[in-house]
Amino acid sequence: MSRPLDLPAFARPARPARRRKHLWPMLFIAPFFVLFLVFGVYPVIFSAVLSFQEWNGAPGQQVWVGWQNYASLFQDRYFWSSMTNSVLIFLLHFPVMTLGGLVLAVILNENRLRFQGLWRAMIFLPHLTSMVAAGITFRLLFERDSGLVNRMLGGVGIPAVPWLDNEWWARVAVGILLVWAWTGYQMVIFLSALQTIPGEVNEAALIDGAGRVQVFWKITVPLMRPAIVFVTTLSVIGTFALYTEPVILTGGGPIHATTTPTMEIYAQAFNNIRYGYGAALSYVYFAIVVAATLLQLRLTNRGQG
Amino acid sequence: MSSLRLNTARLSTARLATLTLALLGAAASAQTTPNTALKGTISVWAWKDPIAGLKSLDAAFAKAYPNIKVEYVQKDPGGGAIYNAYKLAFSAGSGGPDVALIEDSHLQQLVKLGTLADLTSQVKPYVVNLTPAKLNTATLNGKYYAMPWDIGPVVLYYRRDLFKQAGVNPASLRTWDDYLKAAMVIKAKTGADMLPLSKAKNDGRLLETLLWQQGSGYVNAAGAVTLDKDPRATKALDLIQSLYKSGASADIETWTDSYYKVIADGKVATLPMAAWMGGFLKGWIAPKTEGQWGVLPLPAFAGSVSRTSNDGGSQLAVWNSSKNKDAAWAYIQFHIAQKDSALALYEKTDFFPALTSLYKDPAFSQGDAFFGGQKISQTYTALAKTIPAATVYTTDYTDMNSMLSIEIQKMALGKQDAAAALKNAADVIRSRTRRN
Amino acid sequence: MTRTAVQAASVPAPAQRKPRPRPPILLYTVVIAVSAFAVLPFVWMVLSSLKPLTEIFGQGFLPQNPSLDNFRRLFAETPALRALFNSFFIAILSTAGSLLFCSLGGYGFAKFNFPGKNALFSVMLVSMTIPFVVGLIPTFIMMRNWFHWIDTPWPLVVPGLANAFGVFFMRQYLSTVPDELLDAARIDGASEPTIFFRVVVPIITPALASLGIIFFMASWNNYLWPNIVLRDPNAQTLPVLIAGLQGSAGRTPYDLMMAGAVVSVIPMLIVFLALQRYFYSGITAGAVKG
Repeated sequence: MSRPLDLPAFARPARPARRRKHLWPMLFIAPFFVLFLVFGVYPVIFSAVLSFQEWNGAPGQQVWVGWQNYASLFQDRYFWSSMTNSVLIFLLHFPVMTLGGLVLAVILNENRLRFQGLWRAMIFLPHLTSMVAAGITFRLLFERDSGLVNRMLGGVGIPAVPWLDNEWWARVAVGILLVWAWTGYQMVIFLSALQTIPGEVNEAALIDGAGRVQVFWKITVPLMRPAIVFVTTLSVIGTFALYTEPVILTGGGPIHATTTPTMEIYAQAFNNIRYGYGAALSYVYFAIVVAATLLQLRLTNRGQG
Repeated sequence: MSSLRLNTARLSTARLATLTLALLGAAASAQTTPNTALKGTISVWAWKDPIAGLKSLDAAFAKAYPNIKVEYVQKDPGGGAIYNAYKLAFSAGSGGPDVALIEDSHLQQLVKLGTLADLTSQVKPYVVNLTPAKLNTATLNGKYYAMPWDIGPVVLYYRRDLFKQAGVNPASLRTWDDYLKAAMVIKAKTGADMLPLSKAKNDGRLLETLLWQQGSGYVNAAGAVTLDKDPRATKALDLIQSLYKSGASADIETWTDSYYKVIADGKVATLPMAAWMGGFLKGWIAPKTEGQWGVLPLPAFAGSVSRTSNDGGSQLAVWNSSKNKDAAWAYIQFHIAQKDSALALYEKTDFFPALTSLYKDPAFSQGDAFFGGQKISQTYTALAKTIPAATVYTTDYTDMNSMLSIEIQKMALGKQDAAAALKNAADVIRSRTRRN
Repeated sequence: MTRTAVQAASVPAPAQRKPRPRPPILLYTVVIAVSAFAVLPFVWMVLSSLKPLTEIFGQGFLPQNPSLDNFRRLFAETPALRALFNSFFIAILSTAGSLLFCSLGGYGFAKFNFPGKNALFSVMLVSMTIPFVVGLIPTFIMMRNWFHWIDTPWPLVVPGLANAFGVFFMRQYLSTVPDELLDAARIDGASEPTIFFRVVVPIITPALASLGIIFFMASWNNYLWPNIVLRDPNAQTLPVLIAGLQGSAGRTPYDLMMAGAVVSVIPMLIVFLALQRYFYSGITAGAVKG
């Protein structure tokens, strides 16, 4: 197909038919690609350049500092703790959310259950909510003295939990908000994956005497591996990119325990006006997310054969 | 974040301005011959309450400078909106204000960007009547770039009823050691905590107050980080640690509903805070507690005489690319440096003026029923003149505050001692802000 | 609501399988509990929005004197109406624009061959893996210093038009459209734009609906980027305005914030109830093919 030294087709007047043929697809993708170059590619290159500079945003005040931004960030305890926070928040919410999504999908796929559409809609509902609205609501729900959660716990004799005043509970609180917002989403994805599995597979196993739990682990889960890999990848990237939820719910505290890398980058760039340093942080963050995603794909694909 | 909220909250004070009208009249009549030489339109950028105050002098200003037309542009400091607008106008090279209102915490950053005009010769006549802590913030390389408007001398607000119930004589609180002892007595006798002091949500403001009280700070005059080298910083944080360990401090985040509730309900006995807090207590935090509050100078550290500190305040500056710099300065001078109009502005806004020469006015020696008839303004003015010189705000103030707060939180939760907190904060501040 | 939901659901109809004797109590317990967990925060949000501030921090559950006062004050004291309009304007414009750009791009990639096609497609796919935050600072500087677009809707509309996921999504969908359909139109002498708008667009309408809903939802609920480029309260979208209320003077106005939260949720809820099927298909199409 490809010919070396081929000029763009529409630049060669010699073959009008071919030119016409190539003109339209080029025109079709041109609007997308022009914008993509300006707002997708250019900023990423600009950011790389910026990461070797010190700049407060004033025109002409850029100063080249070489690798200094990168050298500083390796000593920046808060940047690294924001990375750890993301990992911890991921570990706290991902298993609950994914297992929950799977179990719910299997339940909703049961023909014995009535009003399936209703249950699905209700469980999916949180996913529609703006995380600003949800974050404020959860902050009130988790309030130490008058929050509904502690009052309900108190009703069954459990002492008040310092949800937003303790670093672990605050991470759990962020995790609960994420589970609330994303379990329905995962359930919908798993449900559609489940519906591609013929019912006979499960039924055959059941007839063979396998228990429901066994069928779930031995048959359903392996068959849904692609969907599980997809949501895992999404969650890994999503947890590192977390911003609105902790900003609104916990403000990143206490003791920095729920500050995420995106929050750190935002603070450096837009509160402290250190554009160069922020850009360097964003590149290191990018590298780590890529590494984490590759590692996760390796782990989730292991044992597939 | 917390500092911003505090600064903006401060400006929402509801003022019971009884003398406003009388003073307004005085301001208008005091102006002798109108200045017609200065001409043009000036744009003043500020936020809601200051604009309301400044506008109340419009008529008087028009009389004094009939050819200067004033336009107001309102932008909120909440979320940094007004500072973003300043930076935007600066990088765009046009569309900026002529007169800019700037909180002390953001002033250095704008000075360093080169957004503000050099006001050295204009401000110089007032320097003897201004506290160095305030001036430092407006200074770069020996030049002044802004005129201080208001100031926040820190005092100790205390509950008369709780002190009485515990049998503690307020006047006996001369040092922080006295304060600690009183805390134990009050806690034992009344059950009330001595002050609200959050652990996991500590915002670093009390430590800053205590540093500045001793003339110390995050950095020294040369800009080098001193937190981990200055014994005064150790003293300040040790005091906070003792307050935590005394069991007589309430673990409550500032500026939240629980905070307002413990104050209004008499669950805390003292508040070591700036003068603007008095207006808050009276206006909206605890209006029903009239007669229960009193004001004391801050307790002193052993071996030091300083009984106050500074927290907050704002200044007016002339925009560097303004085409009407003289008219802009005339506006600033008229509103906050000229006696009659500055006093009228104080009555209207309750922003405690930075210019100490104003304090001779009778307006500053009246009793206040909310504070049991105490002449609190006299306490404020006496202390305002003695605020220690310290490098209070720098270009990196917001970041420094958030890093120090985190280290204090870790200490409060028992994860490190005071020395480690100061060391860790100093280290990360050095690496992030490229300081020594 | 029940009826719509059941109709829209594409789960296998119970009639196709043999009925079982026992009602599955355990299954009902689980779905009811999870549904309650999902819905309770909404209930709390609505109830709180009907309470005065002191009661929000009180010990009750139901409002003592339910009142719409918070909503009245929200619209009277803040530019919430303006924000609601801004949110709609930005969401509709960016959705419509992105759909046009993505379907054109997807069509170009799916149905034509041209030099450099594979390379361009690969660049686009790779770009999807770059986190948003990497380009955040430069994009902000471009918006501020070059385009002067701060406090306008354009930073939230224009860059989003080049949505790589959308192009990929449309290409996948268009690949299933038979070429014969297009060739027949060409033989009839239709021009390429005519073919696109008259033949292709009607076929891909369901895909446009699914993708459009994803775009609309993302724009409606967006916070990070609008919070950076919209500083003037009159230019802000609803989430930015609501979140910004906590930075303003005095007490945090949770009463107004809860009213704002309700206002921000209602439009999404209406869209969801009306177009539920497309929500599910949009989400799952992205997942299964991606």
